[in-house]
Amino acid sequence: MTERTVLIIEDDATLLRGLKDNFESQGFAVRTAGDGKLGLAAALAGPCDLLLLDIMLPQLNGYEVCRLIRGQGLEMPIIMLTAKGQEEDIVRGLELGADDYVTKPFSIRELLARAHAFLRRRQDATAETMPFGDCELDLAAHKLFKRGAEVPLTAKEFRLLAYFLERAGRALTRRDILNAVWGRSVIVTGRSVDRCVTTLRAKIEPDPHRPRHIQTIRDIGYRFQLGEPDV
Amino acid sequence: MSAKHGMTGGGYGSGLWPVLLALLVVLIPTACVLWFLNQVVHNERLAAKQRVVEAYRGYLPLLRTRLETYWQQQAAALETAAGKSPAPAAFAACVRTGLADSVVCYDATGRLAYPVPAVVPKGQPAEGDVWETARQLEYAHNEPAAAAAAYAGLAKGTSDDALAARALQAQARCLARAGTRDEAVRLLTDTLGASRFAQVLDPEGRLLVADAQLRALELMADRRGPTFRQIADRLAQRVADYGPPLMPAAQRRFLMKELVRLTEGAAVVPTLGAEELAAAYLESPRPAADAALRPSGLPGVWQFASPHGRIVALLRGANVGERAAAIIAVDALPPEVRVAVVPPEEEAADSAQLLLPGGARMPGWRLSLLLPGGEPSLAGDRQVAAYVWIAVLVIVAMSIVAVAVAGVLRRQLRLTRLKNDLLATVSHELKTPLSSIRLLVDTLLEAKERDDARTADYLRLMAKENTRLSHLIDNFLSFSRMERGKRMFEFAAVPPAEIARRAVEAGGERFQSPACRLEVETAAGVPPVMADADALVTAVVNLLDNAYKYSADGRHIVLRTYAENGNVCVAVSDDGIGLSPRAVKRVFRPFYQVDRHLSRAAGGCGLGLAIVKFIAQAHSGQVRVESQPGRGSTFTLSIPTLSADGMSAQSA
Repeated sequence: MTERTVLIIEDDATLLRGLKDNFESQGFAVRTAGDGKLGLAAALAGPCDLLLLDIMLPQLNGYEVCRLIRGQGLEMPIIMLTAKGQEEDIVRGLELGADDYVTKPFSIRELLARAHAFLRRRQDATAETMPFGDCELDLAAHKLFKRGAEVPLTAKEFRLLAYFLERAGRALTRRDILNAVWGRSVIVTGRSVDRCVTTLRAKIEPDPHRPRHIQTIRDIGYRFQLGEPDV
Repeated sequence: MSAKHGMTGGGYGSGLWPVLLALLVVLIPTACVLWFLNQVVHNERLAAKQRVVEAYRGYLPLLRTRLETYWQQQAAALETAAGKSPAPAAFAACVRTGLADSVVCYDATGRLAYPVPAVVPKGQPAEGDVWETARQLEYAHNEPAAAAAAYAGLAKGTSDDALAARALQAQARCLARAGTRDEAVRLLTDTLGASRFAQVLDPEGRLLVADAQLRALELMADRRGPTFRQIADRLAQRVADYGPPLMPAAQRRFLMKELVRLTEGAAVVPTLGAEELAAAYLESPRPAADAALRPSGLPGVWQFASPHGRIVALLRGANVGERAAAIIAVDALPPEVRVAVVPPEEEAADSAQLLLPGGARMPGWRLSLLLPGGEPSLAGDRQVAAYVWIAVLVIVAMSIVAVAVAGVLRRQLRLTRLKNDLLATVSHELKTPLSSIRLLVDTLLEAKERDDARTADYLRLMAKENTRLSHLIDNFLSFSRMERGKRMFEFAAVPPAEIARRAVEAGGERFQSPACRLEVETAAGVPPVMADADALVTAVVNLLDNAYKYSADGRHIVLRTYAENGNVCVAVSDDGIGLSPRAVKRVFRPFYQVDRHLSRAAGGCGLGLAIVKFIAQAHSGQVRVESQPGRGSTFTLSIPTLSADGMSAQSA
């Protein structure tokens, strides 16, 4: 396994130290920055495979850093570290281009698992068929197979599922989903997303009442899990 | 969730909605009030008008009675005129006195008495052979001079006035044809002017002399001369004379018109209109006349009869209107109120407020009351003004209420934002050390092999985070107590140097690190202050904390204590980032830091300076700041000395 680079932008020295030690022990090459400006410079200076970004940063806050990095066309996964439990802040971050978030105080195991998931996915992002759980989505044929048997999907459901699969592991806001799957021109609400998710769950989940793949993030949106064992 | 989205979306422009609400609360009711006011004013005007109409309603029957009386008098006057004189004279009298535009007279038996057609005289004198000879000469042989001589002979030879007159007339005719017009004129005027011819009628029953005079006028070349005028005057007199000898109405009308034509309008014939109207009336089918004013059969002409039916008066519609208007134009009505009579089958004017039947004498006619439009009465005005004032007061009251409500809402909103800030700050400031500790603990617990050096490192870091957490919680708690006004101070005499020493001690190691050079300057002879030592130390530690946080490594901090103007001052200077003038004004507000900037240069909750200020005030002192952006700041805490203020105030 080639060495992966992680850039951590965090102003709290203790937290930074802990994160650095952990990621290094997992075999990552770690770069760090202590404030928003330095972090942005570091992100633009050289490629990195993952970005851990604190939101409350001196000089330049995390939202701005996120926006500027995405504005530069950099597409590495960004995980926000946020102490703000308020949903609108998380939604704001996700809509500015972050892929996921953890709220402080977080479990380092969970954070590492997410980081691994993001990095693994980047390796097989170009496949024609996308397996998850006991299902497989054929992107070329627009077909879903569950244990070998085809499950009919509506066009909307297919697009939603494909969108989920391409962004497995990422926290997705309802607005993001609406814009990508329904398009901006149509006047629909988050309820439409919820309805479509319900029908999709009935088709792909082993137990729709305890979803394994499409997980609801309360007050934010959804996260799609491929259903592999956690690292 | 979508609702929540909407809410958070709206939250970004939250400064606007109280204003919008106020607008709604004010604008819509204002519009309603204005509409209502408009209606009220309109109704009030109508009501005022109605009241006026009611007030004048009583007048209309009175006016009607007046009109009835008037027409009765007119009828009686007609009857009197008819009784007094023969019909032509009565006609002339009625017309000349203006009783009617024209009249038609009947005799006691109901037969038409004037205007009457010509009566062909009976027993015309026989014309002899000589007449025949003369006519032959005149017409067959076309010898007017000879014919004239023959007619002259006839005139002289007869003793019958009628024959003589006709012969003279024929003679004049022939003379005119022969070219001797002057002679003809003389004959027509002078010779025929003799009194014996005055009553002579021609075979059609017309007055011969009058025709002769007209003929003379026609023959006269000079129509400006005195002779012409004299003859014209005489003819005018004759046609105006309704006494005997009776001139047929048709001849009279003809003469009058010719006279007017020949004199080019100079002749005065006042009764021509009446004659023509009467003639037209008699020619047309006419309904029976009675005492009431009824259509006469002629368009626009009205008729009524005198009590015994001897005279039927004819009145033009305009004349009726004028007379009625003159009768009802009484001084009892104010000048701006007008009463008009409206003929049957005519629409009353739009502004007419009240219509009343014209009464028995004017069937179908109506009396209408016209009030001036757009000028309501004074009472109505006063009422309207009252309404306007009420509306203005309501609107003003509403505006005041709306402003007050908007103010309350905005204050509430600001409070909510403050609470949110507090929440965000608390969660961030508390969670960051917590997550550091958790991270380090987790890492240590899960480490496969123990590395002593790293473990010691982590434990040290955890201890630091722990201290930071305690300090933060202390600050939150003291702020919370301050907010509730609960904190009690224990005052005792404290030397300022002691406070400085304890503050530096509490500040910890970092002030002794290479990253920081702390100087403490304690002036000699500074008197002790009456203060709560712990509180003052907290305040100074907060100032030192700030100085440290907002300066870069290699910072130089100076802590000085000195006496000044009866105050003991503790000043903390740094060479850090400094404050903008705008920030200087706000720096003591709670949560100022997070309120303004999400990017902070350092940790903290934005409460430190608020706490310092509170402590200073509790000691009757104050805290002030001098700062230059980029150069550094000096915060000075000044407390009155014991000697200047024997008893420092006990905190509220």
